Amino acid sequence: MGDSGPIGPLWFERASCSRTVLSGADAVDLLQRITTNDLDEMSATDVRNTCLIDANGRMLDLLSVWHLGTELLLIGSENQGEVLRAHLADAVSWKDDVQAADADGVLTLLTLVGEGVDDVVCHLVGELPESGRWLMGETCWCARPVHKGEADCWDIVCQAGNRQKVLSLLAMHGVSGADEQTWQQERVARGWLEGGREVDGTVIPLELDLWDSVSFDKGCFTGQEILARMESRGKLARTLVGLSCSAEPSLGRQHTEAGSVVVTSSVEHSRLGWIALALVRPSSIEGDGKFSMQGDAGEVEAKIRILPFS
Amino acid sequence: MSILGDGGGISLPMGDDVQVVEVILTITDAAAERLRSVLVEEAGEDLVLIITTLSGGCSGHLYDMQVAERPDDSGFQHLDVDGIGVTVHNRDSERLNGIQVDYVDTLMGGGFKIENPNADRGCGCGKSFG
Repeated sequence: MGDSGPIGPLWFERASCSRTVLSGADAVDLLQRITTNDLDEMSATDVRNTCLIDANGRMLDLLSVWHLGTELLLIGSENQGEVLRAHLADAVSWKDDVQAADADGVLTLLTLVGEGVDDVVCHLVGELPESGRWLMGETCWCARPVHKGEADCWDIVCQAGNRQKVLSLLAMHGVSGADEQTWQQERVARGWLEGGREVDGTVIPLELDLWDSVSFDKGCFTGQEILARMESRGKLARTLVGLSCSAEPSLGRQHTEAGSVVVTSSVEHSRLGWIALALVRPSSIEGDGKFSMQGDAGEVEAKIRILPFS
Repeated sequence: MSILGDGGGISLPMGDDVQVVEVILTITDAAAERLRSVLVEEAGEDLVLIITTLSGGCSGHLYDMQVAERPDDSGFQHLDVDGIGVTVHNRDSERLNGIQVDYVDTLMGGGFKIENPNADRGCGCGKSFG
């Protein structure tokens, strides 16, 4: 993690990320038709990211799909559960054999980060799951989040009835619970996306560098024409970057000498100072990447950093 | 074994919250001729054309047309269009009301084509609408 690590090991409870379970013979086919990644070849124990987008290519949710054999577990991004479920309800045809269950109250989602978490995962599920796969232990399911370059991070799913047991096991292995402020520091430093901040209805997956969540050869899916056009032109209107800031930047869109900048998240990091995630013009990355912007308490000097912060 | 265990989760309503309208649709002479020949070829009793929308395609929804036995379900509307039996599910009624089914025959590949006054957009290949 360079400047931003090492930390932990820590656990964070991701209560605002929706947990939805799909079942039925057409569940994979439905997701194949309405999301961006190729899920047809998924088999039991596979984990894959895919984006739910509208016909204009705008993000509705970023989903981590866990293939459980006869069911699919969809882990959504923060605070997007209602959007996802409304979309699913509208998308299921009378011909589709698909059932969906809101599992927010039934399944607990934890994310482990920091040094030593691999050992902890081995204790929980017996061995380290391969990349892109989940493994089940006595009390939980575990997979590495499908984020780029995350060597010290795992997602854990357990039934709510096992939550305390899992937390006790984590404590026994020296993993501490962390608060929201610490989570935001880790999240922003690693360039992880959050629903309602980076993932919202204005942004296109490729602008969030979600190339590995989009298939360009699987055939039609909702919003495909927009993404295919962007890919073939090789041009993005904006791209997600990190910002090192001299003080707290204002959230939202502002016009700077680097062009239009949309600050989506910011946090005061214990080692990195004020850092932020922002959408900028790709041309802004060229040169020294420095510009001035507005902060809540006056002018802020910002420098563009490639994610994750290092 | 379900990941939900004994808790079960909360079943989500799927496709229930739709407005049902009484469907009126038209079939061009070319499409009617083609459909009659298909229905004769299939030679089954009480065969109908079932027109459905599925989610997906570039613009959000795809058409699905199928010749099959008339479904015995109160969720469907059964129409007689110039002697051709057409069936539409109530869930699709708002999206399919007012459509015109046509048949085009071209050297570059023809087939049934649907003109939909409810569609704000269509994709380049013409297979989806939104």
